[in-house]
Amino acid sequence: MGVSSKTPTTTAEKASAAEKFRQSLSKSKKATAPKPKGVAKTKKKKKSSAAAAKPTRKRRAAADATR
Amino acid sequence: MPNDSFAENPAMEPHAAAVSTGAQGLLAIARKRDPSGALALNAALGLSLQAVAELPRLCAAPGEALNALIGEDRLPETFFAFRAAFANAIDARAAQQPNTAPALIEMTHAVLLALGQSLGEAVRHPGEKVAPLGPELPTALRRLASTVPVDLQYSLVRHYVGNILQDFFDSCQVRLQVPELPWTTEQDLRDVDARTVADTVFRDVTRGSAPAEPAMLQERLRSAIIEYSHEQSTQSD
Repeated sequence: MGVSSKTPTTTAEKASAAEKFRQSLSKSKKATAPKPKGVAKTKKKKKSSAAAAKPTRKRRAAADATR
Repeated sequence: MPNDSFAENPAMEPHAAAVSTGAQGLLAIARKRDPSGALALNAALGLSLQAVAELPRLCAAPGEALNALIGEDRLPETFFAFRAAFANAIDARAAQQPNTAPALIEMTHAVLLALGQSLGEAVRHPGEKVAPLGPELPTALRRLASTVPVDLQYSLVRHYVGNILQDFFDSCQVRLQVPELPWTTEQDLRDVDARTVADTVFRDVTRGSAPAEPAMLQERLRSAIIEYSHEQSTQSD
């Protein structure tokens, strides 16, 4: 339930109150943030079966050498 | 009465929750403006704590004593008017108290609002549709008669502290300055912070016991405000 404000405040009090709520906010963000697990390894994309079947330069060279 | 930590615990456990940094900041500002301690020791709060303690007994047998408590010759038509008369009577009595120290905080408004909030909460049944003027007066009086006086006192302190926190939150334009605050922030001032302060005030008061002494509760509230605003200044050092 909201209450209309009756107490006038100074600029310094306004700044102080805002700062405390920013601190509250950063504390709660820290508390809810997931624990860092180091650098995540990027998983190598698995080639599709069509791509795997496609002859690569190496495969082509190996095939030529056996001829 | 809705579930609250005080009502749930017949013998109050020491409070486990903490007052948020933001609320501590607001209490620190309030305390700085209130060197005389009137925030806790003001006459309107003392009179209200005493009045709500007597209310269940007087509502059980409405008569002249109840009329005198609300400052009327006879009971009003509606529960809304009953609450308004009750608040007016407290306001008039508080104005006659000679020892009210001036403070740069609007406290009487917060007390009288808390009085209305506490009574409204006490007569509301869970799941019942909220009527703008409250339930019919005989129903409201019957429900008030079945309340526990010390529960009403607890509710009054909780709402009072909630109103003070909300007042400073609004007056300091916190929402305007920090718009990224969660949308529950204002409600948490009441449901978490004010409740924690009230739990501290009532920490070893037994629910079924006789009403607590208003002067003792007010002194404890003063200590709690000092404790929490002191925590704030310690953290800022």
